[in-house]
Amino acid sequence: MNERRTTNIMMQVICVICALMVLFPILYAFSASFMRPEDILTTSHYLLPPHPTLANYIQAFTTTKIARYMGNSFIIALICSCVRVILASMAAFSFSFYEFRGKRILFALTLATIMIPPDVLVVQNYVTISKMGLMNTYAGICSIFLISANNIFLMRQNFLTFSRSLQEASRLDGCSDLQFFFRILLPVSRPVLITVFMNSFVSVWNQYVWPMLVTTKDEMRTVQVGITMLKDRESSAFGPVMAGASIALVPTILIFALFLRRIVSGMMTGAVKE
Amino acid sequence: MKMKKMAALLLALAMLLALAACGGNNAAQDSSDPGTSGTPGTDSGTQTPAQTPESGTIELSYWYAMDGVGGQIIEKQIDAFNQTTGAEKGIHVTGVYQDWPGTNALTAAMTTDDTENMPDVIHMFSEYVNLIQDWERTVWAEDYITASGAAVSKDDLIPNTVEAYSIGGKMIGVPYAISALLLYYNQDQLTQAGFDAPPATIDEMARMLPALKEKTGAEYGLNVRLDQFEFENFIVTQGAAGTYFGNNQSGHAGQMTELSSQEAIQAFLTEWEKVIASGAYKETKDSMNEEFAQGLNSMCIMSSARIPTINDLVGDSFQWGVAAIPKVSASDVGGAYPSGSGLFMIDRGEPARVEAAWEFVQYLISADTQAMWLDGCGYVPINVHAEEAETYQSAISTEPRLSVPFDILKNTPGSVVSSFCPDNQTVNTVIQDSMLNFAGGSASKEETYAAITDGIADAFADYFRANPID
Repeated sequence: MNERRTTNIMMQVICVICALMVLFPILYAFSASFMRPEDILTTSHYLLPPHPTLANYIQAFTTTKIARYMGNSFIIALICSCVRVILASMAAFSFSFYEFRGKRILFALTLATIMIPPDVLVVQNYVTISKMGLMNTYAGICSIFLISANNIFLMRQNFLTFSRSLQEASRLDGCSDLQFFFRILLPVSRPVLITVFMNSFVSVWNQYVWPMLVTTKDEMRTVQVGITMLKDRESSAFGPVMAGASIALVPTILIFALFLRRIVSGMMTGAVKE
Repeated sequence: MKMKKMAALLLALAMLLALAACGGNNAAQDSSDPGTSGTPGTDSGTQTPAQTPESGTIELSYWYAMDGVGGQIIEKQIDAFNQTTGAEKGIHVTGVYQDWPGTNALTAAMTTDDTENMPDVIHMFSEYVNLIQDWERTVWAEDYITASGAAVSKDDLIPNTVEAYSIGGKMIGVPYAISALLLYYNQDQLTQAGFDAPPATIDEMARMLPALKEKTGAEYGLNVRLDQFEFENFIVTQGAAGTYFGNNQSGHAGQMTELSSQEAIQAFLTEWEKVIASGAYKETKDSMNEEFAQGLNSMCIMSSARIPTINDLVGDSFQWGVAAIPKVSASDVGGAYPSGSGLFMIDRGEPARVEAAWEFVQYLISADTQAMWLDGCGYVPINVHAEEAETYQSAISTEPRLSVPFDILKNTPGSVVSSFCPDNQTVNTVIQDSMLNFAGGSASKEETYAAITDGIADAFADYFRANPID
């Protein structure tokens, strides 16, 4: 019993250390965002701001339109994440519950897209968006992020864990395929749906090159582009950049906090028989 | 149940926004003249009036690649133009920030010949001139600056800045945000170590370094990482009238295809070996500004653009100054080449737009506008008449050190210019790695020389294999 307890404590200590290692740069960035320039780069090292100041945040909000950029990023990330969840779940449903000719090839082709580096497609995507007249629009920015083979793969693997007999039983009860999909499959796949949504949200939120390429209007820029405006090539403007990065972190943390309980509760559903 | 409602709400919101996004596009297109205006938008956050035949206003798009204080000054310059010359001549300019080096979006637009989404004027660093050198839409500044009636002529500009943006004697663009490589020195520490003035040659500097380390609180006598920028400055300032880094006058009289400064490189490495041997040289770049300001390094070599930053950081802590970088040999011309960025015009298919673009470019290189750089930046006004501007005089009286790079560039001959070096990113990596190995003791002088010359030759061979010369 004692040995088990010791192992337990050791595991927890290791987990806490690992968490601190991952969190430390973020926490320090947050702390640095409240520091004066002379407190950030000094021979005495400060983990906490010795003279807390909001000057970096004031600079972030006054020298760039960061609130607007965050709004843009939020709209783009939200649209893309929702569409990704819908498209990925539907594609995964067909790949896991239907039998049709060419299914394996189609799935292999879908997976093959993961191997194509996005940079290779940038110019071709630019041509398409430009010719469609979608420059400087949310549609233009979102268009290349609306579907992800990773998400399809993740959801397909999840759907494959469901027994086919579940679908057959629902059919016997008079359920159509769509009813089965919406009323049975999606509700029980809630943790995966939320995982895909969160993963997409964070990934699209952090996009930099594409939004930069297809926008030439200041009011269409995203928050990642905005953060680069806060730096200065000739000086070490760490404070404003850290303030910008901290501001940019808020929505992703909120999304995570909002959905964390649901992921856990979803994972726990059915785990224990009472 | 709650989850279902939330999902429904999110989906409804997403669909609404998607519709709004698509709808917004049409509205945006309707409000602009697609035939003549590629990027109507905002200027410092305000919605610009659409270009209409009735208003006669020409909307120009100006892409710039400068962040921080520099970016804020550029926005001020644009505002000033729009309110004065622009308002008078029916031209409105919209500034578009493109992160350094500012060429990604241009490359995409060039590849697709997307004239609707191209800038009329682009601010670009000189090392990227190769990108647009042979492009048919590049409008050579030479045709405009030499035309009768031009508000700014070549004679109004510092001679070597003109040369820096010329190919075959013709200006492809105009110098705009120019700086010079300088030696920053802590006067208090120099005095403490028994020296009156900063070193004039590398040899003199190497002899000073141990004393600076031993007799002052400094950890190092000198801090500089030798990238292509610093390295090339030490090469091209050699000789009585300068030395070209590469053939064809470093790309200013045709395509640069090989190094032509082997002797100068040898001479520099020989002198630099003394600096390394001093044991008081820091070869890496950490926080150069702050380390110098805290007295950790007695001297450092950086761009003049950092003078205001250093001034803010040092405050009244100690006396400091800036000087020309030490010469390789006392008989060398010395000084520095004009580094930084220029302005380039692009023909989007309408002569009226190009004319308007030139009006804007002239405004940006005028004496008064150039003097604006001194309001928080250490860029050198490239217009020789800037000295007469009130802004210049006021800035120099507050911070006399800002006049040093101006004087250095004015007194450096036109042949001291940076190279239009093919694949400058690889070349930069080759030089940086080789010099770090040299300073770290893992490569001898001979090995460093071979690594640099062979590395650059390989980089050029790769570049010209992919981009053959017609």
